[in-house]
Amino acid sequence: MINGSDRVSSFRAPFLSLGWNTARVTMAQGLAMIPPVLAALALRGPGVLAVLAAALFTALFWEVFFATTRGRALTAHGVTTALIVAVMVPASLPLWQIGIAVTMGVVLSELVFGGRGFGFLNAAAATMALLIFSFPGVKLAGGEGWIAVACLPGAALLLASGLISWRVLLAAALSYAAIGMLADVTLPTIAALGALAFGLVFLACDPIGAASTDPGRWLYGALVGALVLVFGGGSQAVTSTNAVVFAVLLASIFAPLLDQLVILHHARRRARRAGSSHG
Amino acid sequence: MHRPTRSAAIFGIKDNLVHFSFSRGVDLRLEGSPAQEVTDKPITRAAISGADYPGLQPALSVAEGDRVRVGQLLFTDRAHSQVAFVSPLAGRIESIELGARRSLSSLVIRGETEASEDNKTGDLPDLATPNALRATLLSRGFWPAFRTRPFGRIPLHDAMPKAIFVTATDSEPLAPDPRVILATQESAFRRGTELLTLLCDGMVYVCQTPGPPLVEHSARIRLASFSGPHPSGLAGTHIHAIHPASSEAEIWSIDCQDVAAIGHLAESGRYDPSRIVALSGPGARRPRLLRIILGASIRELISDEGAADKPARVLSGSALAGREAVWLGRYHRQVTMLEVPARSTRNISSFLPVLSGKAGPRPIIPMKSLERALPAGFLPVPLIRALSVGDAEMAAKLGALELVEEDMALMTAFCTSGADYGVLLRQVLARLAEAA
Repeated sequence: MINGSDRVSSFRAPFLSLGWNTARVTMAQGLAMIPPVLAALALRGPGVLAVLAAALFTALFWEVFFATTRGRALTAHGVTTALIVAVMVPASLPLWQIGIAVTMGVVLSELVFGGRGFGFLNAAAATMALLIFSFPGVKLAGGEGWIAVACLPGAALLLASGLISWRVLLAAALSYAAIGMLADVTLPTIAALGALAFGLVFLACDPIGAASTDPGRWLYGALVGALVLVFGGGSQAVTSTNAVVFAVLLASIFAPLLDQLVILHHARRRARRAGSSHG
Repeated sequence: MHRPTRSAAIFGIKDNLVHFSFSRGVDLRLEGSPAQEVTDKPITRAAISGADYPGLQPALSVAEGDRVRVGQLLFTDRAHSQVAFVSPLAGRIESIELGARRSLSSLVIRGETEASEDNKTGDLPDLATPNALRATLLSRGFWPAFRTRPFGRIPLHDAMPKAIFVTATDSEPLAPDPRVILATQESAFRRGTELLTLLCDGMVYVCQTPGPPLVEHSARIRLASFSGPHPSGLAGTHIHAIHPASSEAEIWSIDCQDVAAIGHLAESGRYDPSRIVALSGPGARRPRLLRIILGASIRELISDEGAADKPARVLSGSALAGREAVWLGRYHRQVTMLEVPARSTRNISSFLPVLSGKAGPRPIIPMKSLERALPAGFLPVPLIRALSVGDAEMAAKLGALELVEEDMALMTAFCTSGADYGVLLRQVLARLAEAA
């Protein structure tokens, strides 16, 4: 190929990078988190800032630690984890508890796998779950109505950029409403809706933790909705942030299995189609 | 016609033409869309390049310095001696370079005007029977125009495809309009299409853009039109929608210009090496269609074509699926001149040493854009995950046997991982071909 002056440079595909890189993904998720954090700050006072600082420091410390020990470029994905923690953790919680929970959440769900995108759990969801497990009696911050409203611009941004799937959102909302209606006729409270809205947009819809096929996203969303009710004691009225966290965590663990079912079905259909066109 | 996939909306059948309209896909807006008018551009250097035929080991019939005519045998495939490769140009062999394991790197021919007289030998070849047609196409250098699915390679000399797809569409960014290309060679295209029916058991599908049918519908020739964003114009999309390829069903595809060249052979007895390609892209001064020859020197092709003030990165093929090359790729229908991006001088890592580690592998983040990057009927994220880890068995289950490199180009451009899925697919296909 290389012939005298006819030299080809080693530049390789893609010649156009049209997609996003992971840093841009994190930036969009961080932007989407700004209104809920501001809402939490307005509702709960400056304690939120202390929580945010503790979470941010811990998450970034471990990211720097892993980057330097592995000789990799530094990433800043921990920022979004910290922002979510700041909204979901009550401002009264001792900061050392937050430090321990964030450490375990970020390291176990993300960094041991090689960083964001290589694991299968949302780091913030894992952090919250580990916080509740480790320190019995911790009750996560309730979802105030204003937090739900503050989720909307971020949800719109993430939907428009294709970072979250409307299928997951819709399936979760439908299954929550339908099963909730069957189980108990009481309507969910504003606080329940707030907890649900924030959890759905920022935990359940995270592309890392959610299913990665379109039919899988429907199943996953429906599972999240159902599990929120299961962990919330079967009633829409008592849906708590704790219930949402555990629902997302368990559904994320099942997401690869749901994808696998979709893949099996797809492969069988493909084989049948190939067979029918044979001859 | 076979049962179409659910994903393709059929608008209806008119004039025996089935229309498929796709909504999935991406149309890129790039500057430098070619004016759809054809200019002749004389070319004095051309080559057969190994990049088009990975692993091909040539059994040479010529040596450096030999004089060759247009259409003269240059070499055959050592593994399949029936498949001949011929000269697109009259002149002398300038160089023959071999790469690893005696595979072809490039065979360059420099044109000499006095030699071009020889192409007048025009005894009409015998194309009446399937065997005679096959023998003629093999020996006169037309066989490499066909590509198989599965595996995307030149078909075996005695293979019998279930169907042949003629691609008269092009949805790549800044592509030439196949209707403009075929406008001057309608009868040759028709004749070539009729001849293709002798090569297969099943149908010859002519895949075209919406509009009047390019050829007449017949017992063995079916017409389909395709619209929608890229990849609606790729052969892989057509084949998946109409008659999917599998390990049991081999399908061939061929570009409409190659079909016209076969028709030209039948009409005049001559090997026609000329092809029309689009010269396009933001770096091109006058984006338009050029009539050149197969394997043309890209440097010659773009001489005086670049905008003087803008340095360009020149690709053989489209901005999505092309490659930087010296010679026009055998299967490329365009040359794209991209602007060289200004190098960013400010970089955080230059201030903070801790940031300057190796970037390392980057993850696949299943964003919505990935769902649009493959034709409907595939599961994009599971497929690229299987390709990333080299899981050939899973990739085959997810449809890798229906795909070739160009089908993965959008995915490569959109995925956060930065991986070249065309290369990964080729590795998986090579393993599957070995096992088959």
